[in-house]
Parts: sequence; structure tokens; C-alpha cells
Amino acid sequence: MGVYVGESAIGENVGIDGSEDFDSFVTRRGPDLRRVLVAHYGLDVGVEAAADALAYAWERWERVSTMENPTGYLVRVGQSAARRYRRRPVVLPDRVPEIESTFDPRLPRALERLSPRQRSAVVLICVHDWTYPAASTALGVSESTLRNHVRRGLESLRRELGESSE
Amino acid sequence: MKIEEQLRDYRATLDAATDEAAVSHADRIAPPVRIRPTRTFLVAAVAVAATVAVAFAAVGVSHRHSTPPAGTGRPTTPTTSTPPITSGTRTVVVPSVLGMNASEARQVVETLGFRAVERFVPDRSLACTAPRGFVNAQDPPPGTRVAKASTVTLTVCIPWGGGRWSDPQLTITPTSLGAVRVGMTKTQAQTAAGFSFDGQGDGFVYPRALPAGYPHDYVGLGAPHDTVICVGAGKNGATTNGPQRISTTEGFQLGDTVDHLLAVYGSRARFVAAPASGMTTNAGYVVAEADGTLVFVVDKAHQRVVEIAGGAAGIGPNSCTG
Repeated sequence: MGVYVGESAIGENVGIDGSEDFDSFVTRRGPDLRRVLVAHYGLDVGVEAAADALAYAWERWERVSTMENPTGYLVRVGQSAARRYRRRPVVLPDRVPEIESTFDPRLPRALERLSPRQRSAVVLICVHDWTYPAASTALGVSESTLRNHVRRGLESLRRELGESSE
Repeated sequence: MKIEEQLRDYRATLDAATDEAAVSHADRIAPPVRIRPTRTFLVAAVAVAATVAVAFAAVGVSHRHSTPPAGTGRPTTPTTSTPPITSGTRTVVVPSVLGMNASEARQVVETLGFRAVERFVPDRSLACTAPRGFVNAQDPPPGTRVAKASTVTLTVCIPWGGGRWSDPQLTITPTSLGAVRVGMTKTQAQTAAGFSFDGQGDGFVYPRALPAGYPHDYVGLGAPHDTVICVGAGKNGATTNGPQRISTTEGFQLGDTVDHLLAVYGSRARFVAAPASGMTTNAGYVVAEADGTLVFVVDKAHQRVVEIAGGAAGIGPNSCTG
């Protein structure tokens, strides 16, 4: 099955042809890897786990570069790595003055309080605007499970933030 | 504003913070001299050995401290970042800085082209025999011939860490972490620690607002029903960059290796396998002291202690609260 992570079309093989060098892979896929892991584990652990996964890929580049879906594989490597970071709080960034934004300042805390599965689903689908096929592949769940996570996550957020109609 | 719109609006903030964290994370990794590529490749690392051009000579540095140097105390953990000596490598003899004031010792070591790493032991620990602020032990020992730009670890004695959690050093025992003691109420613990315990996870509470540059990742306590039953501290990443500020009364520090743990505690350290399920995949050791137990959780890949808990039930999904 053609699998992918990120913005590429479903079914398209975006694995590497073996001649891509590591640096290009990091440039092309590193941000997606970080987005998935940050969605699940928060900023600090997510970034560290992504770095661990990329280091793992570097050390095994010959093998990883021939995989059909190296990014998906590295998401799972990152998840393994993240298990070592016990009890690190899930922290998501607050509003900063440099970025014009209108979201409720309580939103990051509300996202942190979601379960990891709901948070990952909501962040990838609703924040980063990934498609359901892309996100379900990245997270290793079926699309119907993913939709459930998104629905429940949004319900929790609405309850906590009291959605307004403005 | 609808929740979906707010989430879309959040994207710029999240992406900017993620990118910044990734850059900042790469910058924080100091590149020790290593013989195989590791995660430090992500940093534009300049090999220290390649850039230092200092004339080396076999030296015996005279002690500037008037008191005769103290004994070397317990053996320190050998560093793992000393490059191997191969044919063609420039070698240097490590000077003696035992008994020197720590900052002077660092200056001497760095002037000779070595990389100095300090580790601290509390002056009430059995490992500490030098006065406070002075070098109690060094590794490699004086007179050892090592590759150029190797790491020299200086063990420095510092005051007993019994204070607030912002203090430079904290001592952990089966019943305390700094001034926080098992049996306190959460309110008393907050006053003693000097922090509000506003973070929570796995039944463990911790202060979210640790001082900038705090070298560990968390300190916290298990306080079900509002009473402290356990204290713990963890350092993920399993590196020993920078000073280690959590140590036991016997001078064992967070981030130290399993070999060093066994050297310090010997047969008192009982191995416990990783639990079959739960948050942790790590095994560890439990040490029984007179006033309770200390649990040491080990990072399997690096064979270093990444968490120490006092009063813990054992290694488990949550070693602090069982």
C-alpha cells in the first residue's frame, strides 16, 4: 500500500529512491516528523524524540533510505524514544506577541489536557490541516478511529473553552 | 470564535515554537569529541581537537591551595567521551589539579586544551574529602597520557544540598529531596521547595516553572491525599553535560553510569527488571538504606541513571507512587 506522511497525495510513493542524501531527507521530512511527535508529546519531548529518531536514521541510513515510508517508520522510532522521557510534562506554546493570533489563550492548556491520542488527532487534522489518510498513516490508526479521536477531542475542547458563536 | 477556527489560527504559533525549539535543541548539544556520529551531527559542530593549537608539555601543576590536597575519595566515573589513542594521535599528559580551587582548576585544564567537566558531591557525602569549592578528585588521574582535547572530569565538593529546589545542588535521600521531606503536606512541601507544584502527571506533582538552565528535567513528589510519600528527580537524555545537581549522600549523581552505581552501592543495589507494562521500559536498582529505599531507574541504551526516587515503591509504571 502506498503510504505517506504529510501533504503528499495518497498512494504516491514518497519513499526515497536510495540516492537521496540524508540532509535532503531531513529538510523535506524533518518538519512533518516533528509535527507528529510534538502533537503527541508536546514541544520539548516531541522535538527531542524527533532528534533521536533522526539520529537513529543517520546511523542506519543505508537501510532507512531504501524504505517505502521512512517517515512513518521514524515516527515509531520517535515514539519509542519518547518513552524514555518519563514524566516530562506535555507543554504546548502560548500566544506570542510577534504572531498575530486570535485563539483563546486557554487553548494550549486545553489541548495539553486532552489524551495523547485525541491531541495528536486534533493537532494534525485541525491545526496542521492534514488529510485523514495522511494522519491515520502517521499515527498508525484507522481513519474511523482517527475520526472518533478528532470528534471527542473537539467535544472536550468545546466543553472546556465554551465555544462562542462570534 | 468556533473551535475549528481557533485551532487553525493556532498553527502559526505552534509551527514557530516547534522550529525554534528544534534549533535551540541542536544548539544545546555540546559536541564532545566522539569516534562515531551521533545526534550531535545535527549541530554545526566544530571538533574541539581540530581547532585547538596549544603547545602541550608534560606538566605537574603546583597546588596553589595552601592546605595539602585531600585524598582522592571514592573513584569517580570514567568519562565516556575520551577519544582512543591511535597511531598518529597527539597525546598529552593530564596535569594534577587535585586540591585546587574549582575555577582555577578549570582554567588550567582548559588552557592545556582539555575539555573540563565538573561534577559535584555534597560535602557531607562519603565521597567528599576536600574543602567546599575545591577539586576532590579528577579523572583521568594526574600523569595519565591521553589524546589531545580529551575530557577531564573534576569532582568538586559543595555544600550539602538541603535547601530550596532552586539551590545549586540538591541531595536526595529515601526521605527527602533538598528541604522537602516525605510526610510533609503538599503545602509544606511547596514552602520548603520554594515552588508551586502546578504540574501533574502519573500521580506525580512537580513545579512547571523551574529556573532557567536547570539541568534536570523534573523534580517532583508523589502526594496522593495531599501528603508527600515519595520524592524524585529525573534527567532524560542520559548525558552528563554540565553540572549534575542531584546527588545521594554517597555522592552518586543523576546521570552517572550503572557501573558507578554498583561501585558505590555494591551488593546493596538490588536489580529490578523492567515492568511488563506501563509507561517505563527501563529496569533499575533499588537500594535499601537505614531510613528507607532509593530507586535508580536506568536508561538501557546509555546505561546511565535517569531517575532517582526516595521513598519509592519500586520500579513500575510510576516508580514514585507505585
